[in-house]
Formats: sequence, structure tokens, C-alpha cells
Amino acid sequence: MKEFSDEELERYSRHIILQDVGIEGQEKISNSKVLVIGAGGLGSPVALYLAAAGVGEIGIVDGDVVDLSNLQRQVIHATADIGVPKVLSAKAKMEAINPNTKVTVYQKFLDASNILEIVKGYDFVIDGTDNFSAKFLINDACILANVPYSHGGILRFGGQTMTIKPHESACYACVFDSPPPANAIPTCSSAGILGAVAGMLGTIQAAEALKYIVGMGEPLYNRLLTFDAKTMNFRNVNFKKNPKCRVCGGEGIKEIKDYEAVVCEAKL
Amino acid sequence: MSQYIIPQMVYDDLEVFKKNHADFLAGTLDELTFKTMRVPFGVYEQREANTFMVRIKLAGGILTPVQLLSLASLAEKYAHEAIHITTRGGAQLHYVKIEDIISIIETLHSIGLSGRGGGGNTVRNIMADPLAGTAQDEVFDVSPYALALTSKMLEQKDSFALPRKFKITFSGSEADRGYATIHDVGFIAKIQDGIKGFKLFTAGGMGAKSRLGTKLRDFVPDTEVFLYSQAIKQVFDKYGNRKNKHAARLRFLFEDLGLEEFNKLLEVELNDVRAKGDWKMEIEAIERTVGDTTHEPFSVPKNISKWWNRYVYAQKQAGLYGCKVPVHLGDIHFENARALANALLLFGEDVLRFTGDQNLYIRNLTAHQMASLHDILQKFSVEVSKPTLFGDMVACTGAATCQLGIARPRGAVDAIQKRLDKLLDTKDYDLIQGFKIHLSGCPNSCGKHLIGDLGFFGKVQRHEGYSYPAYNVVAGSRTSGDGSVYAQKAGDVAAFHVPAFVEEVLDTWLNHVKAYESFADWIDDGGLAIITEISKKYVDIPSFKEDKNPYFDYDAVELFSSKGRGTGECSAGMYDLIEADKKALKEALEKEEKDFELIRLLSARMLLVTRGEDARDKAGVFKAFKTHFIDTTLLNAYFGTILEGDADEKAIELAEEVMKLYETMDHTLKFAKEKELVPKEEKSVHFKDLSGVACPMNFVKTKMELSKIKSGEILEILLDDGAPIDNVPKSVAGEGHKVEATTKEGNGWRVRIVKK
Repeated sequence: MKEFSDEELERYSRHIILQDVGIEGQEKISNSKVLVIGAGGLGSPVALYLAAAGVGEIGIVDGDVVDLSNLQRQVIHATADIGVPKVLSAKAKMEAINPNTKVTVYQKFLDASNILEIVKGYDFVIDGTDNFSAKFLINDACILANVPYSHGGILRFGGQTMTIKPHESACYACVFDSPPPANAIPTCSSAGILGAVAGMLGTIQAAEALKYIVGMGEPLYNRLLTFDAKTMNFRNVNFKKNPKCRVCGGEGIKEIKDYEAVVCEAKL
Repeated sequence: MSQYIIPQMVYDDLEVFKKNHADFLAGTLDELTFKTMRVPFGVYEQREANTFMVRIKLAGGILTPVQLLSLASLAEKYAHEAIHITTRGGAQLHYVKIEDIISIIETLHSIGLSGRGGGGNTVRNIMADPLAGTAQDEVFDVSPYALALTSKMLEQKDSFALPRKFKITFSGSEADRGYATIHDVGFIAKIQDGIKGFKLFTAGGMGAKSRLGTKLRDFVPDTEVFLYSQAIKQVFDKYGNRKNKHAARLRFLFEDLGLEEFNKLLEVELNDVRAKGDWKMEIEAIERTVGDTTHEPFSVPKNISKWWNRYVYAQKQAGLYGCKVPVHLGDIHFENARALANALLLFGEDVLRFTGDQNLYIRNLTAHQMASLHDILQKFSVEVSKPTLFGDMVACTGAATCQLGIARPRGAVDAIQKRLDKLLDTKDYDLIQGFKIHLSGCPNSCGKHLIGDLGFFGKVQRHEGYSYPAYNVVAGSRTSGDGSVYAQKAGDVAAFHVPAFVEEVLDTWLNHVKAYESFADWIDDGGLAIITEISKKYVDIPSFKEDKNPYFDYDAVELFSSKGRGTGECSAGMYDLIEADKKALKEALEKEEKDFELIRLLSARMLLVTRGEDARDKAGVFKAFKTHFIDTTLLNAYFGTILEGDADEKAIELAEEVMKLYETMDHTLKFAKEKELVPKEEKSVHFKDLSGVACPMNFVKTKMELSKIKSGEILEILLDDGAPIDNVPKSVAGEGHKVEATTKEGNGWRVRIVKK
């Protein structure tokens, strides 16, 4: 049993008061390890909230540096950080919020060669990436490594997210099978994104991670939550695990391969 | 000398307090530290947060017109325009803002008044016979002794950290108007062989466990008043029960020790006080300056004769008069106080007293002077223009604001007055001048029901499963230096019927008044039985369906319930409920054709109140009974099966078992079997002191402590009064843990939690 210090009791008091969290739940949070892939529009709120919540160890992955055009939505970075590697900028903010949280940085982009090794060491993964090939790669790695994760995607005014518990709930490939052809989707640089939408979806992902860690409520298993910020309509679309899924069904995948990269220049 | 002497220490402390006060206002001093600073100055927080009251010592209730004038100004400026007279004849300013406190204390010091030791476990305001110095029957004036002893006690450090409060009083005659026979220390004036002195009583007091004082010495010379007071205080300080607030007063210690042992310990302390020296008390008589001593002929004008006959009395000094001014609930509006003070300024210094019955007395005036005050005094209260019966009614605050209260006696007083007021044209209540009706909301005697002619104290009654407010009736108290007698039990009445009951008792007494010296004499001569008979007419109420009104207490908007009441001394209210069910159960068992269903229900319900349950319907009663008596193994599981299905003759077994269990219950509401379990249980009692920890951190820390212990183990926590006690137990219970007991401890609460 972890003995929280008075400082921690006070810091986490609003969690502890929650009947569903309590001391036991906060202890789980403090003992958990979460990997945030992408320190951009989604990764920013996720990393901030998870650090604030007292997640014991947070890994953060991004190979990019902070660009002026990021600041409209990537709220973990500041103007003074332009040119600084995103993971270092993010680490500084997270540690400033909560020195109790250990932050591990991976200043790189993930690919088939390194993703499995990194994902393996975590209890939960956040997909905060901006392109389909990365999203499918993360799905493959999490299914293979048996690590639950939160999928998230945003475009213009909309967002979608689901939570995946490998081999138990529908995976990303059960729903979407494989990345769309390169010319079938709007080019990201022309699509744009309302900054606040990144915050909306990222905080949903953070909440899902905490729900999973504590073991409370009903995570977004077997359903895709989509919303349109213009109308503020939220929808749950139910799915079932596909027994013939290319990734998690039947034979499933045995090894990791890179997908054809369609990197969005807008850098969500 | 007409005031006590504030020791230098108090002035020195004020300088420190000023700095602390500034720091507190600036936010650099925490509330708790500040509290420990302000309390010694008589500054207490009121129920509303950030609202304070300042308690002011008035030894013997004595104050000068100049002091009254000054209090009036303070009341106008800082205290919602009222001066409040306390039940010990002191003064209070209410609704004071924290930033004004220094100005108030400084003003009080400038007129020779202090709040030192006004509340808490201290030597409380020392009282004296309200008529001291004026009464026809007095042996000598005891007022100077109250003043001198106050000065001496203020100098003693040990006066402010006693096991519990410590009350001292002086009576000038055997009539014991100062209630010496029911105080911790009481002096009754006596002259022996030409020497002034006192009969000394000790260890008396009211409260739920009342005790009449014991005569400790038949004569103590007046020079030894401090010697004895201090020595008794030292015995109390050394041996009093500091652990249990409910058994802490001197009378409990005295009961434990017995007279002989107490005297032994007292001898030791008497020697100690003598050895320290400076114990002889120097007494100065109060100088009486009377403006006009010429005895001009006076006849009472007709228009004021009613008032004069009711309230004005002739003093022992020929040509001088005193007067009682009834003050509604002890509150004087500053304008009335100012008008009176201005008028009295001309008449001398020793012309005023505040008294423990929360009234004001005027004294040492010529008849002309007294008559001139008539118009000013009429404004003091509506009671001034009514028979003394109205102004002499006493009530505690009751359940409206008090944790321990069962009933709401202030509302009952209003209802009685309303009813009697309509009868003033037809009934001559002046024939029973001085008749005292006293009401307390619970068995604690804050409403002084034990010393009323007719007294009431709140209880719970039940009718067809619904609780309703009711009162125990007591009657016929006597106060006397030969030994006082508390009012004795005369019956029970529903709160709803109290006004009608009072009317009928008064009617009956009016028919007998001419044949008896006092009400107590009539009570002893058959009156008690008559009152008991009358009370029987007023105890029953209609069913809840027929009329809901009797199920509400006066001024209450919610249905009467004993839930949410503090535990502690007031467990007596619970006994009433248990006894009511037990009586009904016995009757049901004695019937030829037994109603097994009723027997089963009454058996299951009888002891539920001891567990804080107030279930009304059958299902609720059975469920609670199973939880508290079967699941806890207090009763064998077999008895749980009796509650299932239709009732049959097995209900009788249940009834017998429950009554057996009840016989093993002690005054802490614990059964013998539970006490056997206690030693084992105590091992797994965990404890956390969360006093001084604010919401919600106290709850967070409670959860932390609970997470460390196993299911079924016990955690006891200390919580502050106010938001913490209002919220934390609820939150803990909301999470499924069991809050087993909540008891007052010091200024806070001890809460016992069983982990789910």
C-alpha cells in the first residue's frame, strides 16, 4: 500500500474524493505507465492531463521540433519553444505541473523497427498521431504486444475516438481494415483543424486512459465516438470485433510491417 | 468600589492580541492560532461563520449607568443594536464583525469591564442575589464579595484551564435567591458571634444529572471566601474528570469521592492556598450615592399602579425602591438602554443589576425617581405591562439551534403567552405573582426546569409509529438555605397541548392559591396528584392521518424527528422511546388473544433507537433489526427467522429475548454482550486526529486512513464542528462505510467508522 504524502493527498484530493477513484484508484494511477505517441494537437492535452493526474511514468514520442504553426492547437508548447524538440518542450511542462511524474522522452518517429519494443513497456498507449499509416502501425503493435490503447483522429471540426482492448474489443482494423488510398482523403494541409477540437478529443483520450487504469466506468470498447464541433452533435457508433480481422482476428498478424506513409503536412 | 479589578496581565495580553488580530486580518495568521488568542478575551464565534460575540463579565450582575451607556453605544455601532443579558447576569454583544473586536475590547477595558474567562472551562461570571444590598430579608450585602472574588479569581492562572466550567454565587439570605444551593460553590450570608461569614455549599448543579449542593461548612468567615473558593477549585483542577465532558463537573467528582474524602483533599489544598499567602479577602462596601434621599410623600399614580404592584418593591432602606424590568429573551435595544442609562446617571452609581433570569433590576431610587422611569421602562418589553407570569417564563434555545435539543421550548413559550394573553381580562394572574414556568428542550437544564414552579423538559413520544414532540412535566421546586428541592416529575404532555395544559394548571392553582403559602406547599399537599391527573388529558394526540399539526413542533417547518440529534448526555430522550414500546409490548403479551404481528413488530422496533434508527414501516423495522441485532450476533440467527413470513407464537420468544437484551444495556446504550466484544475490538480501532483539517482534506485523509485498514475494522477520527462534521460522515457513509457513532468531544466531534 502506497502511503501518500500530505502534498500528494492534497494534490490529488479531488480525485480521492471521487468514490470511484479513492485512495486505491489514485494509487493505481500513481503506479501506471502510459505512452503518448505524438506531442502535437492530441498529445498536448493528453500529456498535460495525465501528468496532472499523477500518472507514475509517461513516455512521450515525437521526432519533430516545435513550429510556429503548431501553437494554434498544441497547447503544451509555448512561443519560446519554437525550434525545440517537441518531446523536450513537453517534458518541461509536464514536470512543471507535477514533479511526481517521471517523463521519458523518445525523440524519434516510430516505425516497424522500434515501435514494439517501446510499446511493450507501457500499460496503456495514446495514439496522438496525424496520419493513417502511423495509426495502423500503432494498432498492429498494440495488438501484438497486448497493450490497450486509445485511438484518436481529428479533421476540421470533427473528431473520432475509440478504446481498444486487444483480443477483447474491436480493434482499429476491425473497423477500418486498412489505410485509405492516398488520393481518397483530403490533403491535410488544405483541410485545416479548429484548435479547440484537438483539445476536446485529447481530453477524451486522457479520460479514457484514466478510466482504464483505475478500472472504472465503461471505456469506449466496441464503439466509435464521433463528434462535430460545428453542431456539437456526439454520436456513438457500435461495432463488433471482426472474427476475420486482418490484425486481431483468426490468424491475425504475426509481425510488424510499415504501411505506406501518407503524412499530413498540417501536422495535427 | 462598584467594579472588579482587571489584572495587568489582561492589558499586557491585549497588546499581543492586537498584533495577532492584525496578522489574522492580513491573512498571515491562521484561524486556529487566532482562535486560541481571541477566546481568552471572551470573543466567541457564533453559529454563522465569521460572526462573533463578545461576552462581558459583570460580577454579581453589577454595572453602572455609565457602563450601560457605553454598552449601548457599542451595541448601536457594532452589535445589531442589542445588549444581551446572559443566564449568569453577564452581558453579550452579538453579531460582531472580526475587524471591530479590538475597538470593542479597548472600550470595555476603558470602562473597567473584561470578557476574561467568559466561556469555556473557566471560573464563570460570579453571581449574586439579584436583590443583594436591598432585600428586606438579607443578612448583609453580598455584592462586594462577588466583585472582590472576581478580581482575585481573574489573577489566578488556574481559573482558565479547569476540567469543566466552575460556577460560584452568593446569596444574601436563606431564601437563596442566588441559588447557592445548586452551584459548584455557593455562599449564603450568615452572621455568627458577630462575625460576617457564609454557609458554604458545594457540588450542586442542574444538567441531565442534577445534584443538590452539599453543605460543606456551616460557617466560613468572610475573609476566607477566596481561600475556600480557590481550594475547592484546586481540588477540582487536580482530580476532576477531564476525559469525559459529560461527567466533568465538580458534582461528579464529589459523588465519586464522597464528603469525607473530598474534605481530606480539600484540607490539603486549603493548606496550600494558605501557604502561598495573600488569601485574605479585603472587602469594601459598595458606596451608595443616592441623588435624592428626601422622603417626600408619595402615592402611586393610578395609571402606573398595576406596574408598580407587579414590579416595584420596597427595599430594606426606608424610602428606597427597587424594580424588576422583564426583558424579552434578555435582549435590550440600545435606545432603551441609553434612555434608561441617561435617566439613571442622575440617581447614582449603584442603581442597576443584570440578573441570571436574563432580566434587569433597578435599585436604590426614591419612589418619585422610580415612578419617573415608568414610561422609559414600558418600552423594554411587552412583558412589562403584563403580570409577572409572562416575563418570568424561561426557555432554552432548544432544537431550533441546539444539537442536543429534542423540543423547541421558545416556540412553546410564545404559544403559552399567546393563549394566556387572551385570558387577561377574565383571569387575575396577579394573584400568582412570581409564578415561574421554565422549559428545557431536553433533560439538560438549560431552561432551568428543575427550579421552576411548573417545569417542562422535552421528550419524544410515539403514536402509531410517528414520533411527536412532548414534554415531561415537573413541579414544585423550592430554593432555600436549608436545602433546596428540585421540581418533581408530575406527568407527560404533548408539546401541542402545552398551552392548554398550562392554562388548566394555572386555573386550578388560582382556586387554591389563597390557602397556601407557596405553590410548592400545594404540590406537597396533594397538588402534585392533581397536576398528574390534568396532564393525562393532554398527553394523547390524534392520529397522523386525522391531524398532522401535533407532529410538528412550534416554529418547525419539518415533521418532528429525533434524527440528527447529537448523542451524549441526551440519551434520556431515547429511553422514553424504548419505554413506550416496552410498555406497549408488555400489554400486548398480557392479552388473552395475542396479536403476534404486533408483538413481533414492537420487539423488533424497541431497541432500534439505540442504534440511531428511526424506521417507520414494518419492512424498514425488520431490515434495521436484522442489520443491528442479528448480523452483529447480538441475537442468535434463529431470531432473525422469526421475522420472516407470517407472525406466530414464536414472536413471544423474540419479545422475551429483546427484553432480556435491554436489561443488559448500560447508560452508554451498550449491551453487556457488546462490552465483552470490546477488548477484541479495541485492538483494531485505528485513530486519526483531523481536527483543524478543513474540508475536503479531512475527507481525503479519512479515505487514506480507511485504505490502510481491513474491512470490518474501525477507524475513529476527530473532526471540527461546522462544515467538517456536517459533511465528512455523510460522505463516508455515502461510500458504503458505516458511521457507527458521532460524539461531541471538546469543541469537535469523534466519529467512529466501520470500514465496509
